[in-house]
Amino acid sequence: MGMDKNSGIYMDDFVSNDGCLYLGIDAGVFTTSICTSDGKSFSERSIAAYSSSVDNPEEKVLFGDKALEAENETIKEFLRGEIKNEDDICRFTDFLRHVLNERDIDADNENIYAIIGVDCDTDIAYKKKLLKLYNEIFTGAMLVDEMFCIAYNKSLQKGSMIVDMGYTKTDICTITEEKSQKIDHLTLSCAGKDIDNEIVKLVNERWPDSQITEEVARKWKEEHGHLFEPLDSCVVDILLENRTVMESIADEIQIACEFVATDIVSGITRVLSDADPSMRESLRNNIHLFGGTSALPGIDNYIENELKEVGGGKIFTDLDPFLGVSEGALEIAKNMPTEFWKQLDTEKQNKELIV
Amino acid sequence: MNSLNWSGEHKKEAKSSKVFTPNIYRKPIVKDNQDKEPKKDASFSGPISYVPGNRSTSKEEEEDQESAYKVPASDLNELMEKESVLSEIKKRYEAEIKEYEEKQKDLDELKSKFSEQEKELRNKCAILNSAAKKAEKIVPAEQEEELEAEIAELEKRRSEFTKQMEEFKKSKTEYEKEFAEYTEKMEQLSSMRSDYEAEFEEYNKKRSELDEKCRELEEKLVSGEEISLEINDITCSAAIETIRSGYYNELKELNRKRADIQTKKSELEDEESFLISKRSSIEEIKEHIHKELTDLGPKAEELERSIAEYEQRVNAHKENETALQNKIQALEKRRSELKDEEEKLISEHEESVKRHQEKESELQDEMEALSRRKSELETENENIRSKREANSKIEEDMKKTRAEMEDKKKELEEMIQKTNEEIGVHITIHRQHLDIKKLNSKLDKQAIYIQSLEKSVNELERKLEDTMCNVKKNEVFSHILKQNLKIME
Repeated sequence: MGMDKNSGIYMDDFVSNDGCLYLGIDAGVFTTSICTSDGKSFSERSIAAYSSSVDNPEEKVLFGDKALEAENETIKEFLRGEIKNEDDICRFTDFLRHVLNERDIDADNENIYAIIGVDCDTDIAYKKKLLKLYNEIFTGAMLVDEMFCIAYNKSLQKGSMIVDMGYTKTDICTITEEKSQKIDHLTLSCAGKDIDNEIVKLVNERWPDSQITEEVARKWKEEHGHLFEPLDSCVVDILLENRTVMESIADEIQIACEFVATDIVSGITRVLSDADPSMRESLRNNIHLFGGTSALPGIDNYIENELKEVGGGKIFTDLDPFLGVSEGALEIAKNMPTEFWKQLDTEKQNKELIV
Repeated sequence: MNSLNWSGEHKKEAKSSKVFTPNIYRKPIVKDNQDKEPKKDASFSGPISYVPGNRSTSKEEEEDQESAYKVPASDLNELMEKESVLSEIKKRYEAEIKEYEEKQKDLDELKSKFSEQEKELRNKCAILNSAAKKAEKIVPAEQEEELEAEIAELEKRRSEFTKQMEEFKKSKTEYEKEFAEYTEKMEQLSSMRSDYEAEFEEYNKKRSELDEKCRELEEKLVSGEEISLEINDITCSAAIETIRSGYYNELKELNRKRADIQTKKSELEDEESFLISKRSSIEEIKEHIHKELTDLGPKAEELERSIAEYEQRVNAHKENETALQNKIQALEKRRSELKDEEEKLISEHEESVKRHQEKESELQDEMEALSRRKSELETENENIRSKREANSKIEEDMKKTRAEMEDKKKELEEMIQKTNEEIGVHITIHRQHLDIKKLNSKLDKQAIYIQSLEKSVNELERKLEDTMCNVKKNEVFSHILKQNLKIME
């Protein structure tokens, strides 16, 4: 997979037959998705559960969906993407190893090279930590801007816009130069988490004694979330203080979804207004949605309708909401010349020697 | 000229050389003029080419011209005679025209008279029509209507009377039938009565006989004589008794018959009275009919009289009508006669006009023939004059053409000189053309070499593009590597 030849940016794909395994990794706050050169692609909730009871001194660790199913005594730790200390490094490496082992991938294999998609506004210090961590796990690892990964994978040309609607934030990026490494972006604080919070808030307003959590709201959102005409079948069990009620929360879900979607639309219009006037038309007609929130049914039509007031726009939902970055990272890993990997390896060895 | 001078400068020179190009196909000017000049004079029979040695033809022409001016004396006499004939014809023609004009005047007068007669006839016709209308109007329409109404009423009455008469006739026949029936019955009754009377007389006779016998017997008895009956072996008392019984029986029968006869008599008397009453009633009806008939008699007579009067009137009217129609027919006959006369006059007039026209046309033809002859003579005169003029013109033209020929001879000599010069120029041009051909072959070779160079350049460009792509790809990846190395530092 690669960009169009006419664009003059990327070459055709090539798959190395040197016995190496290449990985594309998107370590998100909510989910971690991985694609491998041997055709595997999967995503796992970025969560770990630890039980350190007095009776059982051995710490028991559960990762992903299993961690969610763990009993109440255990401590559930979400991987916020922030590696602050050695424990964090250990937990994250454990999580990664666990996820790979689950899919029969031996992380200790000498020929595993990975490209990891990272947030565009991640600071160098954190990147350093991450790179060190990944290089310890894999033979070779490189960090690439996750937006570049998406652009590379879908061969997006100059004048395209990517709206990455994640769990904690939304990034609106524009490809303004042919060298897609230079990507302008705007980060919005509104994202999927805000929809969950809004649902909780609205349900609490309706039933003051309701005891729903953000996790429950997220499930409801995943099940009934939409951005078109209200549905009649949004009936859910709402846990109140002493009882549960079965009621339709269609309005609440729609209001919550629209609450976040309107903010995203305003962010898009802001980016469009800030963009070079010659690029605006192209950007308006090449908006690609990505991220977990882009999986909400009807969000593309909603944004298109909202954009009609500012001259219209064309929304594309051609990117995989969860595997878009990892697929792109894998493509880069596969197409990366082996000399570069070797160069990185020698540099790593030198570093180790220096250390 | 320099052979390398083939670029723009050479073109300019070539253009300037167009100012005078010696055209080898150009026809000599003298010949054209010779062709054109004969067309100027229409009197010429054909184009005459000027040949300096051939002077004999011009001499003949001059002789012709001179002969044309000399008119022979016989022709003049003929002309004089013709002129005199013409004058006579003219006089005749004028006299005939006068006659024709007089006849025309007569015809006009006749025409005017005819129109007056026509007017008079029309007036007469109008008067007759009005008289006929007046005659029709003599019997007033009101009276006619009244009479017609009376006639209609009388006819109505007549039809009613005829109906009543028919009814009476019918009733009469019925009564007559009934009367006949009654008379038959009366006759029957009378015959029956006569029978009864005859029988009654017989009975009376027998009775009287029996009474006589009874008396004889009683007398005998009274006298004491023994009654000797004719009946043997019968005693007297018994015989008496039987006679008595027979007598009583007969008496009884007689009495019964008497009673029957009386009853029948009474019945007959009743019938007779009934018949008498009927007869009287019939007679009354008869009388009534007679009366009505007597009443109708004068009415019918009156009706017949009025019808006769009406018919008389109608006949009188018809007679009047026929008289008027006869008069109209007479008038129409007169009209037709007048029309015929008119037609005759018109035809006569037309015939006279035709005759005049024929005469006129003959005269015109003669006049035209004369005028044609005159014009022919005039044209001949004009031709002779024009020939003379043409000859003088030809002489002038010949002089002019001789001068032109001399000029053209000079021009031709000049042109020969120029063509000689041009031939030299052409030779140099041909040489230059050969040089150009050589250069073109060289250029072709160079073009082939350039094409091969272009191909190699294209290949190099493609390779360059490939390498540029590789470079770009590597640039992206090297950028990534650089960034990561920087992070690692």
